[in-house]
Amino acid sequence: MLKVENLVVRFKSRVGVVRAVDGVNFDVVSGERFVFVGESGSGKTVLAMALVRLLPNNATVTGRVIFDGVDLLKLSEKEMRKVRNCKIAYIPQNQASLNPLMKVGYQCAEPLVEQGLERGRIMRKVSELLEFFGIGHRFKDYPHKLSGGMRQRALLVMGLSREPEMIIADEPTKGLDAVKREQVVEAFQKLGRRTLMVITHDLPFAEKVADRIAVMYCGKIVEISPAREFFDCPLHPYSKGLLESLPERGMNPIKGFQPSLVNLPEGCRFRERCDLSTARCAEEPPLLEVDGSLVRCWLYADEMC
Amino acid sequence: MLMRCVNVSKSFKVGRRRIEVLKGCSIAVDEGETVVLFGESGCGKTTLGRVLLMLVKPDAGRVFFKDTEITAPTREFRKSVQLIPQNPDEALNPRWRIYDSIAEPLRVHGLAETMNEEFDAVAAIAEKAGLKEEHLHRKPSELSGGELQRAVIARALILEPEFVVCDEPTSMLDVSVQAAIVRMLMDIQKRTGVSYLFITHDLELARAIADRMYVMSGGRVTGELRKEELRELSRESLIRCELPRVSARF
Amino acid sequence: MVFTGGGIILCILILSCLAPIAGDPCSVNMDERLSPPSFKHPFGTDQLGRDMLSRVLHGGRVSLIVAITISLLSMVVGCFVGAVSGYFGGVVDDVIGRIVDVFMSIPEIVLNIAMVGVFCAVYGVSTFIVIFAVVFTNWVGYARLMRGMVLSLKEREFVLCAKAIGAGEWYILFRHIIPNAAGPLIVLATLNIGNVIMTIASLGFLGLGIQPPIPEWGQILNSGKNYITTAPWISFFPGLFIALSVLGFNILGEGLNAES
Repeated sequence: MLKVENLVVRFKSRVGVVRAVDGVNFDVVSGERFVFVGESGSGKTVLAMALVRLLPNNATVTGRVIFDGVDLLKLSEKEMRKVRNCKIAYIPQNQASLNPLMKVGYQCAEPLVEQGLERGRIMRKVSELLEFFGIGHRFKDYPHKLSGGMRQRALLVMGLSREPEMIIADEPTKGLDAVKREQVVEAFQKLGRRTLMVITHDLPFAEKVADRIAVMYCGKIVEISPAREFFDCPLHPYSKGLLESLPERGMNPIKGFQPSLVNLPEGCRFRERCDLSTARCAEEPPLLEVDGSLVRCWLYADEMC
Repeated sequence: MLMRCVNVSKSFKVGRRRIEVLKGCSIAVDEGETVVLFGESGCGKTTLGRVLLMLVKPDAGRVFFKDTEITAPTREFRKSVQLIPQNPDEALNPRWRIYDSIAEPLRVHGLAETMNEEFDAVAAIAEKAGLKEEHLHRKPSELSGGELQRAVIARALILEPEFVVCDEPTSMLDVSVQAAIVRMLMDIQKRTGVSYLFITHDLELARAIADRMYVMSGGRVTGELRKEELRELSRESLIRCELPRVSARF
Repeated sequence: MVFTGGGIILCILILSCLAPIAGDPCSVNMDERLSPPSFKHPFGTDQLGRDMLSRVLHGGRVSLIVAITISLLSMVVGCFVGAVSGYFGGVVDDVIGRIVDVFMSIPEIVLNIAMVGVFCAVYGVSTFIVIFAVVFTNWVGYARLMRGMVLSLKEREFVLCAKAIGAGEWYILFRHIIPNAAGPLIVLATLNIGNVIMTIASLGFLGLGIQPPIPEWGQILNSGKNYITTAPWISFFPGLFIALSVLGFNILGEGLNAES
């Protein structure tokens, strides 16, 4: 359904060119829940915004983003707007993304008004959706009266109202406490078999939502695995480190600091923090296929031969 | 008991209404303990932490530090208790170099006689906090969240306090950074015997670090759990935040 | 924008510094009175045959120095009052707030004229009285800006953290809060210098400002008004310099504002 080939996003900055996303390949099949996990600075938000072409002008995007057979990067701005309106719903990460001067219900109805539907039907549909996600009583409230979890659900309703073919949600649980996070999880589980791409740093949330997991580190995908395999037995040393730093899994930190995107190490970008690195890691490892997973690490190169 | 408060209440005026944030809370922290204060956002846990530090004056109730009642914070009290706030981006003066921010407590209390002495003290605490020397000469905007939080911690610990309120110090950080920061705090506790009041809404984290845990809800302390009781909680109830027998003791 | 504005101001400043080269602004030469611009007198001469180039440039020295002094003094006074008002709040804030309201409710120039009038009657005419009179009304803008900045800055977490390590109120105000308000203040000061130049010129034009024989733009402009049909250059050049310097400071201020 969505196929991304060799996507590169560069930003020009005072300190040099930053390759925030560096040669990313993946595909999302219809009905799948594909979750990107990664820490801040891994380029995952930039990736999501590049897919729907919402990046600021100082970014250059190259590669191919093929959605239903059409390369989104080649569309005109007008056609792209249509895609964003009807086909791909992008749900931004910030719960301040709601206009503070507009009541929640009307705001959620905006995409439908854009589509030119009749008023009565729009309102009925939006209130049904709000009801479905448990915030029907908040139809006529202003955003500041809603809690963070409710605002996140309102954003979800706004995205869903136009019945998109695919939803891209960016950090839906950011800044929420456990109870509110649980409400967002429930909302996502209610989505049924819609095609979903979620960007998150919240591993427990990913575990509950994902069919397949992709791990990003410093602008590159280091592992793509089915969710169950990923949480039982991650392949890449970074994935292992990430899971082990969860409080429930021993809270063992990964040593060292994440390198800055301007000044990345040659070869494998994780090698300076990796306990298993060898001389070979000075060379860029390819994305290798291991038991239905993809992993970018030399550790698995020998098993193939 | 090192630090305790009895029946503190606090209300804030918001527009024309008064909102009661704390409704008679009592908690206590012993020497060398890590006590977790757990609750949903908006339950008043941050305010309670600030009341203990006398950064917010309670309307009613009493605060004791080493069995003396604190009514107005003295310099000695300010030296012995510290705060690590939630958002590291906001906690340091954006115009100051990290070095100056870490050295500020020494300057305020007049503890370093010479520049060299000050430098040695800052370098020592920065190293314990996992900062490199290059970090010290930068401004806050040039550091990542994790590095900033280390600087904030270094600044809070440079006076060798006996009691520190950690107000969700890792909720804005990534899990791997959270693990490193929490480990570091625990190491420092082992070495210096400092007590922490650790405020969080993350039950998994609470379970991993707590010696004792208070549960707050709607401005009241609704329960207290010992370490063993926390361990027994099932993973499901942890996720759903259902705490069995929580209010039994109160 | 910063470069355009800065460039204009720099040119005027350099020209003013070079004023002595253009000769004595007060040497009277009745043989050459009211002569139009020429090689000898690029800006012409006035009714007493004084060289206008020299007078305008010397006038620039006086006008700019007085304007910058006034702006800085008002900034110091306004910042202090605004910061105290915003930081301590309560009764202090209420009292200062009402005083500011009183100042805001009277047109500035009227208050200036009244001040100059009263003080000149008591102490006689001097440049210090003009400076004092303008500062007297001018600090209000700084105080309002500063109060607003302090109100938002004092809620920032780093101020709470400074309290937590035991820093005193005045220390926090001067070391943490005021330096962080500096950006917008510098913008306001630059825009304000333009206004002050106009105020001084207005007072000078009304004969209430800096008194002859010290040359000052507004006052030179005024002295030319009787000859506006026969010798327009007397009023034109000081007017041009007033306009240019106000424009320069405004462009610079807008530029700084856009950058911060």
